[in-house]
Amino acid sequence: MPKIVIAEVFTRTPGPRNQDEGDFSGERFLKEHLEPGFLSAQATSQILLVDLDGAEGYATSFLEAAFGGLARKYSAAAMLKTLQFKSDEEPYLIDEIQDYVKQASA
Amino acid sequence: MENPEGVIEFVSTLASSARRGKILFVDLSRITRISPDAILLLLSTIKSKKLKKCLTVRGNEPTDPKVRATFSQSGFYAYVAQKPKGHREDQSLGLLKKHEGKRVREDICAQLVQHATKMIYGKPQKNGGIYRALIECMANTRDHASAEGKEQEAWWASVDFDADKKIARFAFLDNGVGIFKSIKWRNFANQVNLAMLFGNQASLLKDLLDAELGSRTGLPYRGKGLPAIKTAQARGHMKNLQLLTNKAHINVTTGETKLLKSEFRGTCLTWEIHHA
Repeated sequence: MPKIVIAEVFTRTPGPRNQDEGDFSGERFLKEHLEPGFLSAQATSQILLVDLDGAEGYATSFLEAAFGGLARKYSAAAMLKTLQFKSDEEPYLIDEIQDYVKQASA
Repeated sequence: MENPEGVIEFVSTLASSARRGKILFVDLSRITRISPDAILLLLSTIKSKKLKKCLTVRGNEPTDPKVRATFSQSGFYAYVAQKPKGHREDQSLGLLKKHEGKRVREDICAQLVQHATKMIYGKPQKNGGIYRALIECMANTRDHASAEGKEQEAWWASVDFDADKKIARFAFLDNGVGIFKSIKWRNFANQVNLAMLFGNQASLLKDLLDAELGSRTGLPYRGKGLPAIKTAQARGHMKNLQLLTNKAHINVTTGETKLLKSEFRGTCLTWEIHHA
């Protein structure tokens, strides 16, 4: 199963929403890692595991920009079909992401 | 924020006492008690654009030894030219940061959390709720604190440790326009009217924290920052969350809201971590 461990491949200090706001934005994460990983998994009919553990924390705007952004582009259904999440340190993040995804497609 | 009214009145007097080309002297000698957030507010006012027109800003030391130690440990003297005799920077208890510029500083957020948790628990620990709160605060200052057409407002953040009570106290503030003067009230015209907006700020602040008013940008998926900070307290990541902006003060723990007589030009949030 392909996976993205955010703290390892991107940063331990995720930042704000947009690229012009900080070094490790949700927008940048979406462009550089999440979208390519999603498309690759989708093309090969695999599930992509996104691991949120190991980072200092996540702003709501980071999560919304990344995952809400992906859902706005590809639809919530496509996203939730291809992505799985792991967040043992902050389990509520998964519910938050799912809310952002649903709101993004509403 | 034990006495927001008194502190705001003092910093307002300080700001309005600034005269171009004159020396402004700040007498700290008779302070008998001061909290770290009040020190941050004082410092941000001293270093503000309003006081830059003074020839110089000087001051004296508090006479009370406890208050002197609080100032010394807070990081205050790292940002002023005049330092007490024999003063040495000691960031083992307090950490104070300032940033001017358009970028959110993820590294400073991590530093503040790690510093606080190291003081409380003996080694740095993750606190996702507080890390998130700091990112949201910085982003809010960047996006909303500056008056239209004016340069980017600075923010100030501090953490200090009360060794007796084993409490780490955070403060974050900017001296921008404040939440209610940054609101594009047109976005909320169907929910509030102008009279309410400027007369009932305390109650509206509660609504903002409860995500009842949506984003100041008007976009439906925005506006989650302040509610997320409130949720961090509900989840136990922080205690004693308080918010002060314009004429409104709210203690999120008790739910108590106050409409203040004097106005604070800016936004200030404070919260704590307690050793379990």
